[in-house]
Amino acid sequence: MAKKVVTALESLRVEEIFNKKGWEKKENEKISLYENYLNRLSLLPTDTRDLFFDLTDNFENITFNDIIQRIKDSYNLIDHDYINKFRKIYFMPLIEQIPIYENKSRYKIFNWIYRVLGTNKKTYKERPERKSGERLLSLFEIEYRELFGAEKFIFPKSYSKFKEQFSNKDLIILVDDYVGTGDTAKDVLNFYLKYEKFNKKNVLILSIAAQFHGINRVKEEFGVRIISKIERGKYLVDNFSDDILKEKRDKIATMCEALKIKNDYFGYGDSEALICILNKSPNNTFPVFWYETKSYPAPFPRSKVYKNFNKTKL
Amino acid sequence: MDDRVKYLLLLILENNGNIEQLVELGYSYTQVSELIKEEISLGNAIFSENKIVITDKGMVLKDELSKRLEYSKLENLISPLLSAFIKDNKDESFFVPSLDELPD
Repeated sequence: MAKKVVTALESLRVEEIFNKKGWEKKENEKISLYENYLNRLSLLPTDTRDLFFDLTDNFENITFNDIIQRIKDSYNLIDHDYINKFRKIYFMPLIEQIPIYENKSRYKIFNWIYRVLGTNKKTYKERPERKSGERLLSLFEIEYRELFGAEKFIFPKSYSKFKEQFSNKDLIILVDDYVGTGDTAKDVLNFYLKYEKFNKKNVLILSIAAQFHGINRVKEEFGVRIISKIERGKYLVDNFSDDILKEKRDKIATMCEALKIKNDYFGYGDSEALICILNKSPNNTFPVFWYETKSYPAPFPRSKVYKNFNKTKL
Repeated sequence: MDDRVKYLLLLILENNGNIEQLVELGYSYTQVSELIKEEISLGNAIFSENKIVITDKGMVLKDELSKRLEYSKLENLISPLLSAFIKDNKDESFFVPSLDELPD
């Protein structure tokens, strides 16, 4: 990578931004948001830095301290009349509960024959990782009693049990921290809505933040509402047009090239999002903020690849 | 703080230079920004209207340091490669002496 440069003026400017955003500048720590942010800034071409600061100005960083309040804020947007209509309210994470079909044969041709004959062995596989929706839901479960209709809340332990209990007088709320393009929501809704019990009237999606195109897409395709306190559009497309838009997009591309990012310059599905929830950016966020390598940490990473960073660098 | 680091810091403030020079010495970005703010509060530099300017007081201090450190005029123009001398703040650094400093 190119030589790192941060001028004295830029470091003061970053300081101002951090104060304005209320982001903590942890002293005496070698790995912190501030360190990583300046590290990222030092690698960007000089003429793109104003745009980087502008993006940071509009960045939403939701930390552990205010996550529960955020999800409550979203919940409070639901009409009281609507909640009153239902007997019980079930909460499930917005994740696919899909059984995975498995065959034992080593030879692919047999597996194919099994599949055609429908003699597949049906097994429920454990999910490989803990999804953010599950994590958020377990936090919500700790503190919800002051919310409207809290006496009706049920947090089922397993999907199969929940499916037995659910009646047509009940409401199911699917919880996730972020809805971007709506791809996940689409898969999960396809799974739920194939059963007669569930329809667009008793299924809701509750999210901390969502993007307009995701919300509209789910509404058009399924008629299901997404309730979210923070609703955002695509940052560049919504705020700029024509020549300026093209110029800004080119700058983003320059930044990505400097950081050796290969694709999705504007986030997954060109979402142009500016958000990070619980120290993990959704892939809809501009990769400039989350893409990282072992020696170049990102300010708002998606996963921790730099466990040994402090040993190698400092 | 080492005089050489102080000199480099003032040089950076004078020219709006690259703070990476200090980071390479082992300071973290947080520490560097604290150092810069300290210089501003001491009145050696002023930050206003998106500009950073070294004050007369800062210039005097810089010249004093330059004399004390015996930097000649030519060296004044080029910031010294401090990473070659400074041992603190680095765990795994090693010092390569120049030929005339070698023991007999």
